[in-house]
Amino acid sequence: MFKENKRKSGKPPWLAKWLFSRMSRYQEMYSITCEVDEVFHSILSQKGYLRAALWYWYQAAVSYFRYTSLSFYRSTAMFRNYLKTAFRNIIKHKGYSLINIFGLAAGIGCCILILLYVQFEMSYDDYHEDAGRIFRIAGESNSKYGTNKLPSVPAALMPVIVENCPQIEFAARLNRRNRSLIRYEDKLFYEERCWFTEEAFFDIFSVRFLAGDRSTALETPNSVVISYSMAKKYFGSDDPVGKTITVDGRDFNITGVVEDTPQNSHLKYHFLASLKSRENEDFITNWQSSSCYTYVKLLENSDSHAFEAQINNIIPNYISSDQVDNDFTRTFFLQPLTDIYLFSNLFSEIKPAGNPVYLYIFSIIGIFILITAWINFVNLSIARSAERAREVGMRKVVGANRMQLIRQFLGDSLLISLFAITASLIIVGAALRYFNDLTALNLSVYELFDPIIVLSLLILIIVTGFCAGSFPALFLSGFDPVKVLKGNLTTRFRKTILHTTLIVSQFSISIILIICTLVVYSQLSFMKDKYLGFEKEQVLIIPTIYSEGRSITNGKFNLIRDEFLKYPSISGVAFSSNIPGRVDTGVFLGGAWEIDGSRVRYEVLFVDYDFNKVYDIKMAAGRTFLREFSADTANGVLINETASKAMGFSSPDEAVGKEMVGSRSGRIILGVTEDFHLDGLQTEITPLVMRPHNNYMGVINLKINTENLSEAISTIERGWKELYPGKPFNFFFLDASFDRQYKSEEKLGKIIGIFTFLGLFIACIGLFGFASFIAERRTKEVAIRKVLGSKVTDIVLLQSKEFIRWVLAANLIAWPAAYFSTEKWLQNFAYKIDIGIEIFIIAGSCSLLIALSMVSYQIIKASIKNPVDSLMQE
Amino acid sequence: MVLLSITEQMYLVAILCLKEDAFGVKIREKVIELTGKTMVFGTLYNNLDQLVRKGYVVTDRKGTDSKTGGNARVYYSVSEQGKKALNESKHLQESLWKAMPRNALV
Repeated sequence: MFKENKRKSGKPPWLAKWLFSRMSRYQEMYSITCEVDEVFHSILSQKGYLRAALWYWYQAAVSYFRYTSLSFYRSTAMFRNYLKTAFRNIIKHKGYSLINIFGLAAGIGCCILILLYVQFEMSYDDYHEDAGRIFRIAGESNSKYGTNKLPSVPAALMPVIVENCPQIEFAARLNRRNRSLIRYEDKLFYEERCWFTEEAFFDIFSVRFLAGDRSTALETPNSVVISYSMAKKYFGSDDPVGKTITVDGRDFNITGVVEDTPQNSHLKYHFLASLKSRENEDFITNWQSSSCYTYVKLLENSDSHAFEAQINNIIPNYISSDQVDNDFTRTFFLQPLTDIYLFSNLFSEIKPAGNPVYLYIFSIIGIFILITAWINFVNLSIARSAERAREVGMRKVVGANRMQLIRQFLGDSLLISLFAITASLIIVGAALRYFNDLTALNLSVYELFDPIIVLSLLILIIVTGFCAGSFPALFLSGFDPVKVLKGNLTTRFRKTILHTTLIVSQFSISIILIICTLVVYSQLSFMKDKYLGFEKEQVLIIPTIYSEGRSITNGKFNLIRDEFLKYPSISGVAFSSNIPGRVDTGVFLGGAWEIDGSRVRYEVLFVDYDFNKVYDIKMAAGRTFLREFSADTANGVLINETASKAMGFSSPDEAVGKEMVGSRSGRIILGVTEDFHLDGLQTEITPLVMRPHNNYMGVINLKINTENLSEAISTIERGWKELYPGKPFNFFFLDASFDRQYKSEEKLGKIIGIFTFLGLFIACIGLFGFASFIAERRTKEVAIRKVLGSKVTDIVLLQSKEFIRWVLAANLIAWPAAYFSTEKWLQNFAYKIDIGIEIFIIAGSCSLLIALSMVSYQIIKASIKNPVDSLMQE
Repeated sequence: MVLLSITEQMYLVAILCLKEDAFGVKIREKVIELTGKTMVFGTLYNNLDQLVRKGYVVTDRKGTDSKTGGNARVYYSVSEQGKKALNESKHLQESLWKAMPRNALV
């Protein structure tokens, strides 16, 4: 009651009133507020303030909405007209528009895919919080023989620097244990990616715990944290925390489950056990063994260089003198976490390094394709826009001013390029699955919504639209309408230059890509087919593990051999420490000799009597190990030809019977083998020493002489179960694993091949569209020639000549560029092909053929037309 | 020949009906009365403005009125142009209805 009385003489709600005043025109011209207020007051006196206010608000809101809708409609009227014309234009020439849009879309799509890949590769390890403060400490050992770098350092280093360097916020060590036998109840498997580490690991790296307590997970010895996939594998949906698993015979208590490492991490783990479990082992205090990958997280604003220097100042004081070799110095250096994947390629990295060179190559290819597509688009747009000269004339006559015309044409091409980019996004979405298969990655569409990408796409739309639309916009709009309507355009010359340049550059790019692809493929097949000095076919490898420093085959050699040789499908059994191709199965051993003052590195391969036979390794001089001579195992070695040369022998024969250089136990060279590629064709053959050693020959090499591989596998498995009943049977075929060496090159080859094809495809589309346009323009000329008596073939030849000239010019430009860049790439390989002239000829003729087929179709079509029809078109 | 939309015709007729008395509130009431449907002031002025822009209606500020707090109120009247257009529309409508066969709408 009280309120009502007060409000009876009230005012309308001020906010709603303000809305009315926002309708400026109505306020000025019609005094809308006054009128509405009148009705307000009458409602007020009749029905009270509440009803009046509600009514007022309703009026304000709806009126304002209607007002703005109308204003919007009015102000966009011209724009809508342009939109309609633009659409109609596109529909009118469906063929051209389709070619144009699709070509550009495909080009942009390819570019996006490539850039996604490159971005992924460059994003390794940057998801960790404060990744910029995380470093790995790596070690460098210098002696007069040279430098050796390792990504791991002694375990004893970390406590020392933690005590002495205040910049360290957290530090943790990781010790790798590659393949372990994991058992839980009845589940028994070999697992990779097993590590020992400490609590600080979770403070340095951003790891999400799915179960368990991160602050206590690795506190006690014999505790382990497992990854999500391992949890599912061994425990299904049960909670693993608190349960016990056996790792290589030792019990560990599960204290946590973490989510699986993302793909872009150089460090991938399935098991993280507490380093305390190995507290009493030698390597914890031994300064000679670089056993641990050590990571530190520095405090904010720390100077990493100062820190690095500090490490090198402190450590020498701690290396006790009896552990140090006098002419042997060690320094340590920091590696930023985010650089490790791409730039660190030291021996025994956690994950083989990505190759930044390839990333550059891919990016360049991507940009090339984009340029090709873009050139197409601009070319064709400009060509077609000349047709719209008449429309320009008409519009001018009706009263359009220059600014409006410019806006119209620009808007037109902006619209098309907007379409194209939308289409490209759709293409990318659809193709992503296949792309993921190709690159063995798991990219998702969401990566596209990165602000950088969105921004660049917007810029691309604008730039493309402007470039394509600039010719008609600026040029055509300046014309005298009378002249234009009469059809006298004399801009032929300048435009032809433009078109020629565009087409020639486009084709040059495509030709360069073709040549590169051919070179990559030749090199790959060369590497695959080259005889490696040993037989890699039909060899099955069983890599066994080492337990307490000795292989499980130790002492059982004869037993194993007899078991397997029982089966007719197996023709040879041999034991070794490692295998050609050097997959991560065995032991890498090597060293360096000092010969004539320079340091010569060599490798050691422990083999048994039958190794050479199984692999058919030929001897250059001397003999191989023979069972009859029992002294062989004690004293004899075999070396390869490179080794004998390194030792200074003038021929292999000379080396036989001599003592091996640098040998501490006076080993005699029994024979010299012909060189074989232990490592694949990417590296030079290094000197190799081979001899038997009971403790280290853990790899069983089996030569199979049957075509029926699956049958062989099952017989071998049976044999294995007889010998080692409790252990899982792991095996692989040597040729398969060897070929995996070239995986990155193969991947490169495939990717380049596919994108070359796409680039060429896009160039073809462009040429096709352009040729049809030209042919159309020349119908009159062709018709007249026909009337005057030329034969169809002559006409075709005449018209094609122009295109042929362009293709030849493109070739001329492309060949040197391609030669230069492929030569550079081949430097990566120790054994490479010579780039023969036939590659260039193939590329050249390919391009010619393609160009001709695109063009001739159009020209023939035009030439066959009845001249009467063509001339009647006027 | 100019074609007026039904809405436009309606407003012109309303203004003509009101003669001297054609200002915002009254026009609104009249149109509501004629059509049976209510409308907000925004719609009213949208249509009035359209008519003014086309030149069919002219505005005029005259007299002070105590109700509008001393400001001159805006009055609307149909212009010559408007009357002509309305006439044409009326003829068109009439001939349409005449041309329709007798019992078509039964």
